[in-house]
Amino acid sequence: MTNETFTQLVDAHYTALYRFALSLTRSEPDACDLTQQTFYVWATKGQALRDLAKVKSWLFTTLYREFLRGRRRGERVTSLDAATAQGDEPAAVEVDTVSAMDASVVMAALQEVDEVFRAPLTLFYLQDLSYQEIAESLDVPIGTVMSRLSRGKSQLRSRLAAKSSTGNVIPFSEFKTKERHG
Amino acid sequence: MDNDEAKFILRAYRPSGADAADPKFAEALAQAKHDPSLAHWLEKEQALDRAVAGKLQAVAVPSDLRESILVGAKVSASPSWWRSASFKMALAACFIVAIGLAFNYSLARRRAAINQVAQVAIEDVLHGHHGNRGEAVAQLENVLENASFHLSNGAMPVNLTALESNGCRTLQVSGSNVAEICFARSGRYYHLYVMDRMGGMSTKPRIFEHDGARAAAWTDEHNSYVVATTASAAELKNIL
Repeated sequence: MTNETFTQLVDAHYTALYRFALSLTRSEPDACDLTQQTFYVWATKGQALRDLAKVKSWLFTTLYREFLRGRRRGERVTSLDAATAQGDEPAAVEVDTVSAMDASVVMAALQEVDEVFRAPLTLFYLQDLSYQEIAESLDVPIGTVMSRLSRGKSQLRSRLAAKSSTGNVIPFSEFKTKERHG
Repeated sequence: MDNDEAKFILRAYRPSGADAADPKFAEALAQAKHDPSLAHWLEKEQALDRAVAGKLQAVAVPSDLRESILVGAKVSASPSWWRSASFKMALAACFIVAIGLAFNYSLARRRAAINQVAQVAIEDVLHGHHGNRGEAVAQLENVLENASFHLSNGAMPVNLTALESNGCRTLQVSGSNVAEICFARSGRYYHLYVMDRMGGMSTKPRIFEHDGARAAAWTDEHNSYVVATTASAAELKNIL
């Protein structure tokens, strides 16, 4: 792969991959690491991909697998049974409320969603992948993707509603990044 | 299809309209056209999805990330993996172990009638006292020799600085300090080499072979590792 081709690939996908990584890792440095690692894996193994139309799906799949591999043993894994049971209709949150929120607040709300729902939900909202591609990337059946989207949206809207009631507070980590004290 | 089933399907319908031609959604979309309450629900659902998607797609990306990826890939990734620094280091580790072990096993074979004390002495040279062995080394050895611990699972309890300052045997390989710890599992001996994290290495172990010795190389978020042995590939994989 030429440098130019690799650069084009990076430019086309790195921002979406980073945002996906950020939703999973909940840490900007870890998300950067994970995104870089994904492209390194592409650089060493990606040439084996014959259908270049699937490179986007390949990258998201690889990032998710790298995330699962790097996750430390002992970290709490949310079981579907333990996940908060929600009714079919999510908590009410208005469009105007979300529109007025800072992007980092919405991301923070997403990061509070149970991990098992967070991955498909992020991929859905980044809109780069169809539900079928999400199913392939996460290696779960299509029905499971739909179920997790449904429950994930419910949780997300509950978190958004909670944040809207407490005010538009920028997460502390974001604040520390922006305000550097010498 | 009732409205609950339609809503279940339509919650996966991307607000960009990219799924408009997907037959999976056809029946639910048709139902929404004829049912005002479902249509109203879909309109609100899509509006909220667009708002959330817009916010997530606006999340700031670190300004130096693109450059880090491009420069890092040039420096670290190589299509010819056998030219990479990580492979050379693993090969060097294999070579070092193979030379050391081959010499001592040749010695044991030449002295067929060697008594028990001499055998203990050979094992001590192979696996024992390389420099002072501080608490950090002892603690790590206890973990490594635990049969239920898998080395590449991402939870290696290593503090490289503590190991080096505790007098753990340290090699210089390709300009990098490499701490070496020996341990045994099921009667087979292994040498673990620990170094600062190297970019471009996989978190999944890669196995290399050279002159009857084997090495596995991998990285985690803190360090990079090579474990070398003359045990079989299956035994090596078993401890990973």
